[in-house]
Amino acid sequence: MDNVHIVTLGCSHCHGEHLHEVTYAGRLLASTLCSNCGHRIAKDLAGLRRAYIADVEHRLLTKPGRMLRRCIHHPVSFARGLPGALLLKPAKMEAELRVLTGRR
Amino acid sequence: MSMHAGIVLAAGSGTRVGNSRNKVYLPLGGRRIVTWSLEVFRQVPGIGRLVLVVRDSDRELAHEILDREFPDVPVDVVTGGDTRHESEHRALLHLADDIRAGEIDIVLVHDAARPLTPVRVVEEVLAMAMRTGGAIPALPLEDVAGVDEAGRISDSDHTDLIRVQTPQAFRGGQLLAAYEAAAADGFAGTDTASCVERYEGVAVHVVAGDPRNLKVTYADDLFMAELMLAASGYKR
Repeated sequence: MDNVHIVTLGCSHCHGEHLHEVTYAGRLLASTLCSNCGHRIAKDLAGLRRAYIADVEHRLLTKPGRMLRRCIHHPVSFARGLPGALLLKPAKMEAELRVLTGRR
Repeated sequence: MSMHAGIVLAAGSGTRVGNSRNKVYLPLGGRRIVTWSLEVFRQVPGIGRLVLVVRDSDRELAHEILDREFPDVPVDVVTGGDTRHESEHRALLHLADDIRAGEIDIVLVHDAARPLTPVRVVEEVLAMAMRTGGAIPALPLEDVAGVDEAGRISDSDHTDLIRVQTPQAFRGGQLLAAYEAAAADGFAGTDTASCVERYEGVAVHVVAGDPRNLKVTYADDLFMAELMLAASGYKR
């Protein structure tokens, strides 16, 4: 999953439906930013880091099972996508760390 | 023996500006919002057929997400229309043969942007629809007041107002007939119940909704939804 998504959501600050940038740290929601008024909702970074560490532990524990399931259900697309996924992993981790350190 | 069908509408969930993605494909607690919305139907015994209505441009994404997040459950992906009404009609046409053959009894129609619907709500809506022909979940509309033409608070009684939620459930045959009649008339209802009431005269019964059955509309709702999922241990 990408860590930044652009979607239309209602803004509780400027009261309209506008594009929002929704940012994640791994599987966790980190912040939303309204493109119309700049209203930002963000989790406290310390709390987000604690939750992220717990979530990474869970991701690591469940990864073998998830990979096996995908390999069984879609062996061709799994094999085809694996090298790319491995190559992109460092960039994905870096993007997550940028969110966790407040640099994004 | 007949079964029930669940339709999840992901074709027209709210306005979309420019090339933005539909909010129902946003991640939430490790899965997409739309997957959580389908999941609640999977957990209710008797719902043996699932239909996901998407925009044509989202078909590939929808299949990819279902393969990854909902691999063991067959889901029919149907292209929706420009309006909620049209999307519902297309989903019903997709099920039409099975409805006419009596293989599908109750059809439940659900918003994809409601990922936290408790199983209890679906079960009660389904049970009520089986007894009466049509049911919707709703919450009492509290803390509302009327305002007269001069802008003054009016003391009119608002106790009969409710906040309607989904899923809305109806007998498949009546639902299909209502949408076919509406199509012939050029009528487009605002929700499922309005069309069935108008064309089939079904008295729609209300069952207790749930405050957790929120519709992701505002950015704030995402944080609330994630918090509620975490509190439930990411289980439904």
